[in-house]
Amino acid sequence: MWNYEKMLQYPIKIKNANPKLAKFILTQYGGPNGELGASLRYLSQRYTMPFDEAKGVLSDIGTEELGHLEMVGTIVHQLTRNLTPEEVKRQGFGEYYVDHGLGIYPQDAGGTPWSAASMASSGDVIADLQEDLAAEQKARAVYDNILRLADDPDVREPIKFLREREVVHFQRFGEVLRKAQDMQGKRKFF
Amino acid sequence: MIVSRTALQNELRELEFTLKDLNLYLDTHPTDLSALTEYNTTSNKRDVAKTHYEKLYGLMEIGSNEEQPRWDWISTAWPWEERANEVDTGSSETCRIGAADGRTAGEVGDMAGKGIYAEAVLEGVEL
Repeated sequence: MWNYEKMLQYPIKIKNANPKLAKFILTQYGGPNGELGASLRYLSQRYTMPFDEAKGVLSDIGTEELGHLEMVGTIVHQLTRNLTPEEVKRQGFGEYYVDHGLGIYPQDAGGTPWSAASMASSGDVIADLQEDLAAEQKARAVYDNILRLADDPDVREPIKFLREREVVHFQRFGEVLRKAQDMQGKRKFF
Repeated sequence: MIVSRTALQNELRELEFTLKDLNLYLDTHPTDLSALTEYNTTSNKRDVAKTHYEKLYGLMEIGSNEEQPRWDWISTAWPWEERANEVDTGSSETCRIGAADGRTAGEVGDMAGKGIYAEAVLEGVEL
């Protein structure tokens, strides 16, 4: 089970609304490389992991990703608060607004809703861990793109934090994969 | 003794971040005793900080030891609200998240795992 802690993993206080930027960042909420997919990917894959390190890393990184989902939702929420209809129209937020208002909806930057087709759960330890390594790099690349498009330091600081965590997760998944490969080399059955 | 809500919350955040990072590190290095010691020390500090925070500012988590004189779980700031994330004036604009000695998030994350995987990426793109 999970307990909820009433605090963000990293503080977010954005002074200026920016709905255009919010639409870009929303992809890390519900896009193909976003935090929703990340948490579901790891928390789903862990059931068939054949050794303890893998079960631990998938459970604990999957849990941290839920906290990151909350952070991305917070960034989007704070970037879109108190908008007037004029601002909505002027800043290219109309298409989103007409369907979702100022609600937070899991979709990518182009408007495609989140899909389980963006993740895998293969039941195979090597296939799943390779997917996880790629997923962390893709998420890191999207955060890099966001950092190229965002000037506001209130937004950049939490995004940089999230980007850094992808790198750490990649490291941990790499260690688990090496362990899996070593075990295969010893002809140990999974 | 720290008393401002923001300062207490940031202290708690830093300790929890250190714990989380040690948690992931220990998952793949379960026999590293120095990391385990750091985990235990940090965990104790975190319990003290959390109790201190909850005594002054209300529940951080359902089921904490602190006795509740009234139900303010719903009325204290929710994490996505600006009022939940005040920045202390006079201190750095960013949360000094990381270990107590001032290491950054990335440094703590890499504290013992200088493997082939992270290095390739950290050299990555200029931002």
